[in-house]
Amino acid sequence: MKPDLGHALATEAMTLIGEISPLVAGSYREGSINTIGAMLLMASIEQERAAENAVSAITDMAALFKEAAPVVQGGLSERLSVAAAREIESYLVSSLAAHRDDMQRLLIELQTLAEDQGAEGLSLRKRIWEVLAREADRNIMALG
Amino acid sequence: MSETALQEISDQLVRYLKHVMPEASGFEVSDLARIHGGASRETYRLKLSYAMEGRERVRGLILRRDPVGSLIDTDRRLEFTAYAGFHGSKVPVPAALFIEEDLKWMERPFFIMERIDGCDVASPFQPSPYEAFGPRMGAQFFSILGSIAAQDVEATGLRELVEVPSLETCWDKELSHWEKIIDDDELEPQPIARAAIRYLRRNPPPPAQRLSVVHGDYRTGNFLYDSEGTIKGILDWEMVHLGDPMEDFGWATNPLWAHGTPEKVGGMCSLEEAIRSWEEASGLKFDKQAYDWWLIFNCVKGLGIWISSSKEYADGENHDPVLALAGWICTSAHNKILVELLKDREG
Repeated sequence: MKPDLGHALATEAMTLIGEISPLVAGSYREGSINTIGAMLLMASIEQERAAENAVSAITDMAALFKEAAPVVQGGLSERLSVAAAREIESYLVSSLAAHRDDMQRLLIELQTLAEDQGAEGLSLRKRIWEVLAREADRNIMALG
Repeated sequence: MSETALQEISDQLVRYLKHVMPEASGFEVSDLARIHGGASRETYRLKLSYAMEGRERVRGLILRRDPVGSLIDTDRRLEFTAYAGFHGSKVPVPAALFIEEDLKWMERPFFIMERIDGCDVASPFQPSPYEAFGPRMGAQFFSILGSIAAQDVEATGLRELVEVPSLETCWDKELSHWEKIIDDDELEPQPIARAAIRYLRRNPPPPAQRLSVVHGDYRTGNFLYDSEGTIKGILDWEMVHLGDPMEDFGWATNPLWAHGTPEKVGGMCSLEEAIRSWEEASGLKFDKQAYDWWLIFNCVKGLGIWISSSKEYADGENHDPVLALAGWICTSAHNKILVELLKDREG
């Protein structure tokens, strides 16, 4: 689709902020228009990277779950194995987000367990924090 | 907002002011306009002219009206009481004038306070807004925060309106409050927030040194300052409560409010300078262990605010775009800050 969606969103954001907002300078509308412009800029960035970020998160957690499955006990071990082997069914952003959400629920469970294991769970805890750090880096959103 | 809607508010205001100021006459509202003043209440500025005791008077006012759908909220009275309680103290606040909860005047509860003119408010997203004033502004900012901590709780009138925790339970009350908000409002799993909450529960802080008024949102962007860099008004007391004064210190120094200069707290001064000003004004001793806990807690609290904002916007309860923007930018920022604070302690 041309022009690129990201380019169009960013262009219209600049029109809102640079041309329309000054027409209502000093009013309540000025703040709202600038905020909407900033949202469009964010959306232009996010629509480009959302699928890749979700796939990276899913892949990262799948690798972690594969490593963790043999070292945890019982039902969680099995669920980790199933989650690690789950294939991506669709690249629609909503579908990827739902897949990532499922993985993150399991990640919370795994991390809680690792925290209860004391020294024994140290290496697993380190691995989980590495995954969380990468996820936080990927998702950072900033203006400017 | 349409001219008709503004005219209606103007007419309603005049009717109300005639009722509460029977000794005055000739009321006229001018320059009425809605302004950005927090997403939780509609905020308007206006000029009021009237005659009293044989003299013509003109006064700048701020009207804060509840949004639709929040008629049972009690925090408007809390906010009003905080302004009233601190007015005339070392903590600069606008004078609180009238609070009205009878819906007959303006369909929704509202309060009216004095307007402080000739001042700026910095946006949290603005790079280095206080640079010209240097650490002097930081000293004022943290000294005022110390004065809030030193304020006699009884004198503020807040004790009757809020839950009063013990020195040992301040942290648990606040953590439970924000954890519940995340439980209720999260639209997606929050592994970093959950890890932080578990960490905070496993490692509680020392008891509060004193039960203080906690502003609840004491940060850059929530105060008025003049062209000389003097702080003239501390605003946005909507989340005021009683608790550990380190809570406010941990929020005020949160990296999110550093305006892109993490080496300066609030983008104004070093942490050491902030501690010095705060200790001097509060009479309290800075406790590193407590501070570390409240710094992490405040990231969780921030996430609670942004998650809640996101839900409010997504549910269509409030269409203010700042709720969505804060949900995006600030959630990602606080997640990143939490990882930095926790990964070495927990990993």
